[in-house]
Amino acid sequence: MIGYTLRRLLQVVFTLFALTVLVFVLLKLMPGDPAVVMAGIGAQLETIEGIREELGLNRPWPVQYWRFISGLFSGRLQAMTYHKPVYLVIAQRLPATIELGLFGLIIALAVSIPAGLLSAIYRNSLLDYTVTTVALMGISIPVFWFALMLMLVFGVILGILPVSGRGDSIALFGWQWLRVSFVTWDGFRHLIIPSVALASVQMAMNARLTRASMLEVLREEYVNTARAKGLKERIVLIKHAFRNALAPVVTNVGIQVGTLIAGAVLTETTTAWPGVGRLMVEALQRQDQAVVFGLAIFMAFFFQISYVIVDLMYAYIDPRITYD
Amino acid sequence: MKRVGLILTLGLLVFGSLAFAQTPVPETPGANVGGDLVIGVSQTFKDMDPRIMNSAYDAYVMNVVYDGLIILHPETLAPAPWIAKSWDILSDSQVRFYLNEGIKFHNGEDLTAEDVAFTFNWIADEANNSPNLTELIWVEEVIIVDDYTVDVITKPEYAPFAPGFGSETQSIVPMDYVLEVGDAAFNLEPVGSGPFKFVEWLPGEHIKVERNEDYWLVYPNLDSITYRPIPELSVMMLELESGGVDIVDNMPAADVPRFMEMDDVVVQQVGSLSYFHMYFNLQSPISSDIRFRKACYMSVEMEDAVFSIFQNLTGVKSYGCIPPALWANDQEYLRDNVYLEENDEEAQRLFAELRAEGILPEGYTVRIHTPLDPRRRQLATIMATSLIENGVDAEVIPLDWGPLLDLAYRSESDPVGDFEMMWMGWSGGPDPHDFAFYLFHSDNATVGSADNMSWTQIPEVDDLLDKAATTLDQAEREGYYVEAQRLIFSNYSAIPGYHYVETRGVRARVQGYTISPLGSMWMVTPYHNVWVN
Amino acid sequence: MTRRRGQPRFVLETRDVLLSLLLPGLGHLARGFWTKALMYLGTLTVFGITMGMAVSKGRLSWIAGPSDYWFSTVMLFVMLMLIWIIGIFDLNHSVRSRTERHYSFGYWQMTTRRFSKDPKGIIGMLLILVTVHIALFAPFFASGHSFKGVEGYVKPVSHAIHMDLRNFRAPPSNEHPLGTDHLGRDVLDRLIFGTRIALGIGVVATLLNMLFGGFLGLVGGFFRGATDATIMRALEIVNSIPFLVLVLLIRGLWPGGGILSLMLILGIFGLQPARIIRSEVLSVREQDYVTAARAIGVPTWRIILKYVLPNAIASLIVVTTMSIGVNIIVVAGLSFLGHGVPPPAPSWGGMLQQAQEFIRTAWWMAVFPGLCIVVTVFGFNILGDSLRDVLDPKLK
Repeated sequence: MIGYTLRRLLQVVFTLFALTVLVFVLLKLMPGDPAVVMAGIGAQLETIEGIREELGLNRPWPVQYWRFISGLFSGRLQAMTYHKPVYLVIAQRLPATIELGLFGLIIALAVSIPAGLLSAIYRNSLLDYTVTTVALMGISIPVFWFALMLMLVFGVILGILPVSGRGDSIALFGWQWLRVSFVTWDGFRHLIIPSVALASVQMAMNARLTRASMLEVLREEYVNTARAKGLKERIVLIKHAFRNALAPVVTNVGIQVGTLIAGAVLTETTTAWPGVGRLMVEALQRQDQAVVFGLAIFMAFFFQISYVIVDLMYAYIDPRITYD
Repeated sequence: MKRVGLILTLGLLVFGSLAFAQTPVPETPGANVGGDLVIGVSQTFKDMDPRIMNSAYDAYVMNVVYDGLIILHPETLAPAPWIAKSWDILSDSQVRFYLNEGIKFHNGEDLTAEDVAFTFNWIADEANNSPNLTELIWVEEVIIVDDYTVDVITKPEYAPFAPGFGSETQSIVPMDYVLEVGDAAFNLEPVGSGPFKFVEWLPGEHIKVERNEDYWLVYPNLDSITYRPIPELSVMMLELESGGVDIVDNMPAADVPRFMEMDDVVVQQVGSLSYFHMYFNLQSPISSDIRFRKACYMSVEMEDAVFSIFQNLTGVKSYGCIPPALWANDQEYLRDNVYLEENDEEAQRLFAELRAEGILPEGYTVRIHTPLDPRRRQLATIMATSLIENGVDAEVIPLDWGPLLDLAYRSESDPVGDFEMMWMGWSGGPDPHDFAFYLFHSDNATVGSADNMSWTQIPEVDDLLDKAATTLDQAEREGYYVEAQRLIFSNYSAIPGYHYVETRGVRARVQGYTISPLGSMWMVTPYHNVWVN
Repeated sequence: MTRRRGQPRFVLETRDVLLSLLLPGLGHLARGFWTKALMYLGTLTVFGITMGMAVSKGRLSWIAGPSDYWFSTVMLFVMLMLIWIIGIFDLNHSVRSRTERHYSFGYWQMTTRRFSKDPKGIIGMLLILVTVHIALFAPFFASGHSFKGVEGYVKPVSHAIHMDLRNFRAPPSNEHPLGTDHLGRDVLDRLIFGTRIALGIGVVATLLNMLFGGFLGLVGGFFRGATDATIMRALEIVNSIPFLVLVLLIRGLWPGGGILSLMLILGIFGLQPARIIRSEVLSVREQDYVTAARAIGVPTWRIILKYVLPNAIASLIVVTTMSIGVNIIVVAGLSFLGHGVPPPAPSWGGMLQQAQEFIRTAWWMAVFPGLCIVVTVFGFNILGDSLRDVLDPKLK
């Protein structure tokens, strides 16, 4: 087990390393010179050259790569347009995204698991068809469009929720970058529309998954046995079927935690949510190569780590799986 | 929305005689003290240090955190006192400013001549690579005379230009504080002498400022102001409608009539000093042929195109580069004599001619580049569709700012721009020079990211513009600009698009707010003190 | 389409034939040789008439458009061909069952039977067929006033819908059933041509996904060892950046690129199928018959073709169907960020993005493109969902 963990971590390190090279090369091949953008139109050649020098853009690629990678680890890598170290730029935006993602996940699970279970139990009923249709609709609606509709309906027409943005937040432990907003009433209200929009996709996927997994469990021998013993259907469903059906759903949630950061790009841009997804779009627009680089690596790291944890949990839960 | 960064460059508005001897104090009868204001901003904030700030959106915060040496009068745009209570023109190359006494920065330090000199000298120093260097290119040096007097020495080839000091980018920063904390830290936690103190900057979320209780000029009415970046224009409109924000800095034309009818929103508009057009690249073998340029022009009914997008609400058709708000714009002549109406037969004939001569290759696809800004994208789309309908295949290529500037960039080794046509915008100060000179003078067709992207080089135009820049008599200058513009536009090196009309939606509870043609977001100045009911 | 008791056969068959006039390829849902034959004949007639009218109206330019369109049109043809092939198999099958009258149903026959009983699958199929039909015959469906061109020049009509600049944002009327947009273009016509772009990108990108991803998964799963490890690492590298962000980064290399570049980027980097195929292959590989085949020295390619691929095909089909929808949604998302299909091409995502600022002033600009995306993607999703139920007999 320890050996496996180590090997897995080694793989992660390798993957991330390869990724740094890939992202760096992509950034360097992209047309557009950050110095020209920063200097503005009509800037004098000396100004542009000066900025290039300042940012190290006129150095050979390997040197620049080394600056990026070593700076990322030591925390000295400065963002090109944000006037702070890259890690701080990301850290300030991260809590908002995690908050949004977790809320989205909670909403998604709260809706999708009961819906999935019910549609499995009452298979081929009107309820099942409704759940299926709604769930599939959920994956079919472009999320930015859905968010806009929510804002229009709940924010403007009904006027019961704030339209966009993040509400009041509180800095935890006095760290200015670690702010949570759902603890305040205003912040909580602001959180609803973006997290429902974000949840729409996960809701659909989880409902489908729960249904499928429940159906599979219901066909298992032990469920039949339990029924044959004359146990009440409710007890069979809850005690025997439900718990077992949940396992794949929970694993899937583990994987979703990794992708939650990513899923937020469109939702955050639409709802003016100050998270890392929007930061990515913003940094690409501003040609801030350092932030794009750092953020891409960070997203990959987050994703990889959550994947490893899911893997290990899997091995822990299911002793039949051996890794060698 | 991408907009050309604030290019409030040196206008030729020379410091004139002074009507005031004192900085005026805003009068706000019936004002309430107290209340918070939320302002929706179209883009995320970048810099809070005015010396390196080059985005019109950052400027909104500068407007309240800092004070300027002078202010441009909100209506006449003439220079008026602010930190400087008056000034004297000592000679052709020297202006003396007398500062108000008793101004304190938010950290308690006094604002003195030292700070003024430091601010301007820092920007004018090439070693600092400030993007605002071009705005102070005329400053040789700023000299401290005594604690409350500075002298500005201009370079011999320039006259002292007043608007250069009226921009947000020339707001006065506290020297001691900047030197103590360093440029980067100052950029994140700005300290100024303005009516509002910087409180917090939550990146991507908001910037918050609160009342400076000890503001020297007047007691600010508002308790605090929150600036919220909202990247989606449609979402910002929903926010305005629902009351989530009090002021929005932009409004699409379609929404203007709707909000005008609403009781709780006031739409404020003023013609801005801006100009948007489509450049041809005169270095390209196809675009360098005037027949091609005219044929493109004649493929579209530009008046209809601009009207369909702006409905004369948020933009008006331009016929020359000088906005109608300025003198020497010569719009009528240009419309009657230079503007080309849609004439598909003639355009097709010209295209056929060019094809026959081999200038326009068979099957060639014309690329029209444009920033991601929806207005210019729409105009580019209209142009492309019209070209296709006239038998020339065309496509629109919307680009982020970086790749776009990359195409227009001329390096020393390859001094040819890599584009055919490009939609661009320009905004300038209250002087025709800012438009005609930068966009069409061959001095600006230089290696680097040139202002004169089309590479227009007409010796007669250069002569006229040079003469206009060195003359002081306005009537005479007007003649030069009119003639230069006629020459430029009958060369069709650019198809004029529109002049943007600055449009802001303001909730009715906000009082005393007036829109500025310079795009500023003034809250408390010698002429304003905004309050809420 | 299955026959219901109590209704005369004649009525049912007439209805089916009429339906098939609208939609090609529905034939295999009908029962009986003659019904099927009639349905296919009907479809063929419709196809012929539509083509004939398109040609006579001089609207054949959709064959000779710019390369992007050419490519997507060809791909749509491939899809139509698939429908025909299914039809021929159907006819063949119904002939055989009439003559041989044997009822030993194989896997695929079972599947087809089950599929034709699943309302979800039928709905999905219907939605997709309607969309495909519209895409193929777009110039025929589009109204005449949307094109204005030069004599003798084959205009890529699908590119540029004519603008009536003085009639912008006109609400739905007789002349413009779905209104006009902010530049006075007919929204319906743009939607009709947008079908080609949406399906073109969706289908082509997905086919490329299958080719690349399927190949990698197959190879990795079968050979295991170092090959597998290399492939899996490469996949992991690509997969660990969120797909949308990856696409944005790569699209940055050719900023403003057209449909073709979108197809390629989505096609090459959407490698989701690889994992699924690999796990499928891994499980098949351990089966006794595969071990046996290997033991007696059957060549590898034969094992893959004969044993592995057929077993993996079920999940491949499901993934394909669903990822067409996913790709359409991703393109819409890219359009929203301003990096989608560049104008003036009438892409649905682009229309949706442009419509945003008119959401309170011209609802028709926003509602209809949104509906188109939802309906089409829903069609693919519900079909994929049904196929999963059908192809995976365990769930029955």
